Amino acid sequence: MLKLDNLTRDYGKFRAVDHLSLKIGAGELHGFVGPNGAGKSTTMRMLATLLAPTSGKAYVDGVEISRSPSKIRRMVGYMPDFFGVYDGLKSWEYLDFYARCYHIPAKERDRMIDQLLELVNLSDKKFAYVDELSRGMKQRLCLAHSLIHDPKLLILDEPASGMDPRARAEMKGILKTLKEMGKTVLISSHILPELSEMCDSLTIIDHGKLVFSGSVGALDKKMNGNAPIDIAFSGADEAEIDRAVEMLRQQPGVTGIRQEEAGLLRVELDGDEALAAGLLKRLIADDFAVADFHRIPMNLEKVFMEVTQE
Amino acid sequence: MMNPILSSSVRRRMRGVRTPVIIALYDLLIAAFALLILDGVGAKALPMSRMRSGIDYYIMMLGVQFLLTVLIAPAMTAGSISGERERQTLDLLLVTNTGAFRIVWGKFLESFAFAALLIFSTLPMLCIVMIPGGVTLFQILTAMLFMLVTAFGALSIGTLCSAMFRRTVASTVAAYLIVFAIGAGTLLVAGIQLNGVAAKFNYDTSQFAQMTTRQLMALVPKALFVNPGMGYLCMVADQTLLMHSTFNMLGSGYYLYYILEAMRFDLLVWINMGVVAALGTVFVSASALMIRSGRRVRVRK
Repeated sequence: MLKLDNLTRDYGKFRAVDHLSLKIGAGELHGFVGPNGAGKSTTMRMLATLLAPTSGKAYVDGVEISRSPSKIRRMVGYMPDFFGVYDGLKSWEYLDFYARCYHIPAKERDRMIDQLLELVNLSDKKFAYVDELSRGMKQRLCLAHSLIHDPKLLILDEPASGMDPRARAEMKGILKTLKEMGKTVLISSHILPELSEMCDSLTIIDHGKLVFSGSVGALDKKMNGNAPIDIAFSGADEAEIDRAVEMLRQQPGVTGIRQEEAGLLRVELDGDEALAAGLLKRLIADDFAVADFHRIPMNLEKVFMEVTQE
Repeated sequence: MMNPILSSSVRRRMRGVRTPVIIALYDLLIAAFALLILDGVGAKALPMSRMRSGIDYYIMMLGVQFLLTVLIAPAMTAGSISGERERQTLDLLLVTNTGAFRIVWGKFLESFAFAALLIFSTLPMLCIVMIPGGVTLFQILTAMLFMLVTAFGALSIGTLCSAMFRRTVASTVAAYLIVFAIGAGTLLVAGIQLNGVAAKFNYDTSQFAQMTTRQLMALVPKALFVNPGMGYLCMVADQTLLMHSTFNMLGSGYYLYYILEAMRFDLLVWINMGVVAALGTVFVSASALMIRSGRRVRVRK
């Protein structure tokens, strides 16, 4: 659906995006992460045909962005990180205005506007003036506007910035619906955990360069493949735990064991998933009452700091 | 389909009390001038016998309106594009399938429509001159057309600056500087050229009557074609034949008066309108190219 091939953009001497290459499949919800100034917005503006790349190419559904911008505009919905609204315009008129800008026939416009207002939970604000809406509502309305021409690819530049947790949750719900509708979504944020929860795949960039691109699971593996495993035992006494420690110590790949709580062991395992599975099998076979067995969820904040450090 | 930028802007403009208030204030201003002028020409009432006073009133009313148009119009559009940029709505427009060309023309035509409304709203006050007579309705309508073309030109300068500058303040200052340059600069250039012409003909104005229009045209400084102020003087001279002394005040202008009189004043009026309209069209279209250029990009920290 979306393919970037050594996409580069310079502002004077400053290189904002540096030979960025990545691929996003159709229907994917793809997170685009990086610290402020990493080049996220620049990349997205190029994909929205607002900026011309200095070099490199990008394809949306096989169409090169600088070759036929008007085709791209028909396929891409874009929500910028900062945007304004017009005074003296009602919500439905706001959407109607952009629908006209996309040359959508009158008959479809009315239907589309009602559907989109429904989607972003603003049906009751149809006749309210846009400038009187709250910030979160404006952001949702702007999201609706970017969908007005039924684009295949949605580019959302920090759509959740400045939103309170409830609004964020609502935004997540909307994104889920969009995914169900089969849209490909590229969504940026400088907060990794926020995206990893809902995205299928992620791209992390820093200083305009690609740091990581792949599925959330792959990121997990790459950054936290050796994360310790927490094993909780049900009703285990001291002797039982000692027996477990003794057994685990002899397993391949186990490099360390620490007792965290009375019935909780933290096992350092140097190996892949097969090893972890073998470990669990063995525990069951040896008749241990395993209540919980999981890798400690990666600390995304830490991962983020790690991958984007100077 | 109608230009969406135009229809939406018109709707927003005409919504609420702001626009009617502006029109009312503008007309009050013109009416105040009208009373002042009537007082000045010594005519509280304008009977047939005061035809000359009526024409004086007409000339001054047109002058006031001309100056107001030139002074107000550039500011009306100086924020049209830069304002969208400042409000962060321009990007949202540029990613739509409405091209930069239609965006700029839509914004421009909306301002032009409003300017036209202001100009036409003063028509009844101008028509007071028809009570004593001396000016025909056709002439008044020609004057209206001239005002519209002048507004078109002045608005286009505002639009051009608005596309060139990121900030509305800078754009407004630049627009007024350009208007001033056209107003004063062309007169300066024309004055120098006219001095040369006058010297060549040994300050003799009697030969012009025998010359062809083409020969006369060669003597007219071309810079005047872009100056609507000259168009205004010629239009009034053509309509009332009363501008001799005004031209005399412009240095070698008396010389110009005889040249223009020989080639007919109305010719210069129409040329002036044609040139201003053409330049305006070029300016607005050029603005469309500028909002697309990569220059407006800034590095976000």
